[in-house]
Amino acid sequence: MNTVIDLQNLSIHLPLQRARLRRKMLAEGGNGGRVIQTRSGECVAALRGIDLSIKSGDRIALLGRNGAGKTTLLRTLAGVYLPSTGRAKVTGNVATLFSTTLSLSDYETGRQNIQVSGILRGISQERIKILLPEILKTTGIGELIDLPLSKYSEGMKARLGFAMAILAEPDLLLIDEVLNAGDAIFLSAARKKITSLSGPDKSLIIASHSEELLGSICNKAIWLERGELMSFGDFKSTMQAFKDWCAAQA
Amino acid sequence: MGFLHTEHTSFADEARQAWCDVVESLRQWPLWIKLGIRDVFVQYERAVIGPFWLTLQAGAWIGAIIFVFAGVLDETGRDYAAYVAIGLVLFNFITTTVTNGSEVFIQNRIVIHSHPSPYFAYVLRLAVSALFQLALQSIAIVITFIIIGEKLSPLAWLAIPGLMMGIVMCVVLALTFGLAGVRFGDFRFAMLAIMRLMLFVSPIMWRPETGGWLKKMAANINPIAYYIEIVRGPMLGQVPELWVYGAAMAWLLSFTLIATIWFILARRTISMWV
Repeated sequence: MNTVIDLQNLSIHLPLQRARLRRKMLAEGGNGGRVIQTRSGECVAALRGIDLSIKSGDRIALLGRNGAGKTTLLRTLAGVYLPSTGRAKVTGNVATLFSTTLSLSDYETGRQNIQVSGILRGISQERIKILLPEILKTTGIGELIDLPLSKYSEGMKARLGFAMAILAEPDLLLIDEVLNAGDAIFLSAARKKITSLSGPDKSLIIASHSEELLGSICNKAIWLERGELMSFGDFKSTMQAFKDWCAAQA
Repeated sequence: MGFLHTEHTSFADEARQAWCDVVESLRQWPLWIKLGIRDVFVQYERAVIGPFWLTLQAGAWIGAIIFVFAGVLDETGRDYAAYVAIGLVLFNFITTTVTNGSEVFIQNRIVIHSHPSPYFAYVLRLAVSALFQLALQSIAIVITFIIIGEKLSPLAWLAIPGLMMGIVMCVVLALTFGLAGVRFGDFRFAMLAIMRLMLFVSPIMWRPETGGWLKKMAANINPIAYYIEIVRGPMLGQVPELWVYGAAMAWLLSFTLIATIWFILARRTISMWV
């Protein structure tokens, strides 16, 4: 199997915009990264010295408390954040599902939103037309696809967002929490879809607080705490270590 | 297809990546043209007449300014209506670019945080949106000309190079102010306040040549005045003097230099600041 993700001494320093507020928040025992002083001013070290190598074919759960650095890691793997130190190498076509509202206009129909989202993801209109029946099947939205998005529930938007994220048939799919908004039927369909997408050359990294969801999809897990990599290994043992640690902290 | 990202390297390396950003943005022209026009329609989605509200708003402003200020400023000629109409619509275009430009990256933070795409494309999308709004507001100029019986000057074609220069300036301003808005949380509010003030200190309701030295000075140090003049002048049959074009070009080159250097230095951290 090929190495799909290779992180070496990766650190991400996020600038402090409202310094006083953040400092107060962190001083009060927040879970986020540590405040550090850099040449460009005060920053939050959202990720620190991460060394990680991931082979293709893995379905990885991202574990950690709020502010542990899960979203930052996902954004870095998506190519959104560039390393403050170290390097990040990702191979293959990457797709993200970080928000159910990506470019979505409440006044436009589901179909129009699919088209715009496709454009934003670099998919041609012709390809979207070909993929549309599959999207409709995945979302299960049916004739509602021609209703304005304002008539959709959060769960339906999550379905649409999920279908759009997998439009590009990615080699690496990154998902941040958003599936939690779906109902049981959708979650079941999403699991099936994710499983069908997996293969020796496909990978998935998903952040969620739902152990049940993660357990049904993932074979490995990454545990982050305050921007540091605590553990990376098989799902069950890493999840157990994380739960034990959380219990000890409580 | 994948990427290799490393920590900050040299200025030359960052400049090369900024250049790639601009080239890739230009290559994506169908994207920003489509989304730029869509942005205007989405804003007026619930309105019956949709974005034609922009035409109505411009018309109402033109009518109100002429009604209030024509008498006060002793402007009785019909060319004053044309002068105000063109000036106000161009000013609105500049205001739209400057105020929306100062939040161009912030407004797109969900997309920026979701997947990497060239940043300059957001600026171009905004420029298309502002241009589309300019086109809709220009209908008010046409209607004003019809009402007052004014005809376009045969020299009006000279407004085209002026307009092109203005459009490029607006793109450069949107990029500069967009970067400033990302870095400084107060910037967009400051720009909003400043642009409201600029309506009165720019030669839109008044003419620099009919006032005292204060008005002349206000027009001379105000870059907006030059960009309005190189479009409005030819449309009204008055070719601006060469130094006016020179001043407009000097402002353009200055801001282009600032925007270029700032974009090179700040591009890699935009996603972290928004």
